[in-house]
Amino acid sequence: MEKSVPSFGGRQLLSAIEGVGSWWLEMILALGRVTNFLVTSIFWLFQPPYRFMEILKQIEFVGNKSVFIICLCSLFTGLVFALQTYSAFSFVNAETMIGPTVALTLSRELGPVLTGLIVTGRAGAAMAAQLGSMRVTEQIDALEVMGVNPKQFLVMPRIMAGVISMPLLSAIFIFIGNLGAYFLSTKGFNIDSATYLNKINDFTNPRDIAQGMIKAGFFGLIFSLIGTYKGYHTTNGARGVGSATNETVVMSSILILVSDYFLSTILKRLLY
Amino acid sequence: MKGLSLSIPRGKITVIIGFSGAGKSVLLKHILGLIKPDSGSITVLGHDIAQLGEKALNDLRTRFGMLFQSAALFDDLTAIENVMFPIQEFRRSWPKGKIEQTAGERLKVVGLGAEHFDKYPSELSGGMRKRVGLARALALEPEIILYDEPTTGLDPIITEMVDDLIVETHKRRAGMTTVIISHDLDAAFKMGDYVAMLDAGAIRLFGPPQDFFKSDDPFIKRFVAKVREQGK
Repeated sequence: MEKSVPSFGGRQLLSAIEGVGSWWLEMILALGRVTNFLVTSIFWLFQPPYRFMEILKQIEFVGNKSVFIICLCSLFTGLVFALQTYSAFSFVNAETMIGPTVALTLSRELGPVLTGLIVTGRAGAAMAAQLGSMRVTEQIDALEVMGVNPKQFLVMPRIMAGVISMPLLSAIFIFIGNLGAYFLSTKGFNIDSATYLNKINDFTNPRDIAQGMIKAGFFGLIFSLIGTYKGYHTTNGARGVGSATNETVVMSSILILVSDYFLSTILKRLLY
Repeated sequence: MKGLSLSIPRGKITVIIGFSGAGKSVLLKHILGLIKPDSGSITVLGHDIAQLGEKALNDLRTRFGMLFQSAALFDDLTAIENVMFPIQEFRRSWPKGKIEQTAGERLKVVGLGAEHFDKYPSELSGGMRKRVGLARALALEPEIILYDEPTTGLDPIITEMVDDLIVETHKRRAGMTTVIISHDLDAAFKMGDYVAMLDAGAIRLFGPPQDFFKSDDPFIKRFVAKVREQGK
């Protein structure tokens, strides 16, 4: 029996469907690879020899060394936020609402998201570059040949450092940001200090802080996982290291912003 | 690799030679358990590598030493810290002083002066990096030492120095098995107790260097002629 040959339009439609199908398949495979990478890395957290010193070293790198830039960025975020909300709220004589507006937005959204983006650029990129250059110069192979598990020695401590450091950095961001807004409002716009603080107390809730901390931990997982995965699987020498670093920053930033919306929706249901 | 059968004698120097793409590095990765064979078996020190779990494989690897083509030194550690690293990992009960002393001894054995101990790999020359890499490979007194193209990219004088160092190291450690992956035919015939010729993923000839000069195989003859040409 003769086989029917699809028309030109039919062939185009078929190839478009094939393209979409293979894209989805590739996405699912990539997700599987990353999940497997995460699970096998975390598995080594519970296996001797325990790498507490390596985790501490990475916390020092991700957390401690990011404190200054986080303080600087958060101070100016708080200042500019207070300045802009004052401009808007003064039209309706609601200047006293600057405090809760800044406090709520910083603790729920801006604190974790901006901290995530800043630390991605600083520490996530560095993770990809470090592991990438170790891969292309055979240092990771050397570890493996020595009998040292590279996931336990290099990957797991970095992921743990990302997850542990981010809530702490985010808390600093929220605190300093609020401090900046408080000083500008009370000293610059002459809002009464007690009223400013009382309003924050009236409108904010510890659950707002909890939401921010949970998000920050999740964003820490995103950038450290992508940074280590991209670095660990680097190929093609110096060019590959550059690509791994670039992809880490782009993918982590996009994922942080996209997942923020979904996390907000989920946490709103769970916490409130 | 296909149909490869090779038995590397214990306590001897075996050099595996072959053209680029013959499968030398792949064979090395199989010996180290970095790649598992699709079929067949690889027995190292009485253990079938393909059947070992991750932990058992890591334990077995502590009995190996390996000098990488690029030396693969950890660039955030100094020369002595690089050599201390495997000792710290696998001799956890040792005091720091003993670890440092052992690492220093290993570096002195390969001819690196104490003035270079605290230098980072980026501050060392190619030859010095090879020495540190060799000292690190010898840190745990391995039973098997593997060299992946140890003289690639080095000038002729440093190449000769590294070749001599390999032979001296082998002589000093009685019973140690040395496996060298190389494309330097001249050095292979000089250093090797045995030479294995790899071609298209299989062993073309394995035996003492003189077997190669007696062989009637046209492929081997062409190879040997090249060596003689280099020797002139």
